[in-house]
Amino acid sequence: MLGKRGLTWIAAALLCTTLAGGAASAYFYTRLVQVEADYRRTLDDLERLTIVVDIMLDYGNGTVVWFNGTRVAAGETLLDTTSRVVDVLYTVTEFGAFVDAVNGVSGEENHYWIWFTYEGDWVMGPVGADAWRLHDGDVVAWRYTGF
Amino acid sequence: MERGLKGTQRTAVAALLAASAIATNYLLVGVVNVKLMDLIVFTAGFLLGAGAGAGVGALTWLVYGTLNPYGFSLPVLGATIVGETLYGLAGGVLRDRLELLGWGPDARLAVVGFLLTFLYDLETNVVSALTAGVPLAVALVGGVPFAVAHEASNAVFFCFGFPPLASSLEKVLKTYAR
Repeated sequence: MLGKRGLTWIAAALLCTTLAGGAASAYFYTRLVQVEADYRRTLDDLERLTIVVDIMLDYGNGTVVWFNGTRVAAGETLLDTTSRVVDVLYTVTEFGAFVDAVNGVSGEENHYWIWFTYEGDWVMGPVGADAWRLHDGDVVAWRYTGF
Repeated sequence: MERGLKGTQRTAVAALLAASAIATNYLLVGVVNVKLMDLIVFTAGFLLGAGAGAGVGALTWLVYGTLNPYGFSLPVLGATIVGETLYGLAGGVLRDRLELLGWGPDARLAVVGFLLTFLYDLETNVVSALTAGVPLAVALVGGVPFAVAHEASNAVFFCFGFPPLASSLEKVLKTYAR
């Protein structure tokens, strides 16, 4: 059985661990607050330099995949942005870049990868994907379309 | 023990311990907040009495704080001297309450070392913050890693270092006390 002295030492030891734990908690809480503030400032900086777009991928077989909230550099082209989220094979022609395959999907007769932009309704892209610069909030789609 | 020594002997032993503390401080100058000084000052208080222990602590800081590679600040020097005397005083006060159990590690000393160092760090950090004009909370929280290094190292030094140091010095001093 522990005597009064033994209990006093145990209490003192527990005081040490409490002090150390309290100090460590205060320190790491302060660090957390600092890191969160840094993160928010960095995000603000990032938001000034980047835009957010939504990209849809329609494989033409019923499979549709959305890449919502894709953050890209301001002024980036649709082709560059698409290449960031999926594997794209394309050929550069005198009319601009022509997408041959997306994620390996290609080769079907009379089927082509066509891009669309959403302006209340889906509208076929008027230029090559390498000439279309995206803006914040744009919604675009790639459809494997048969003719 | 301190009663068995003559005044000049006590002074000589105190001077030797202060010199040892100063020497180890310069030896460990590159290791921030890890020093054997506190252990030596505590031991001085334990062997020679609270007053002499406090004197060893004050003398050690008077030299090390004045000729310090990190610079000199009078208010901080005052704070460290006051803080360091705590170790000497505590050593003297615990002399009769802490019977040594041999040369092996003693967990009670770890507790003593930790708590004394906590008080020392608290006091010196408060004075340093007021001197530098840094908000108190910022100084105390920012100083936590350094304080923890100081407190943990002292807990280990006191636990493992004090019993053999005090026992061996006591043995030597007994021969002169006769």
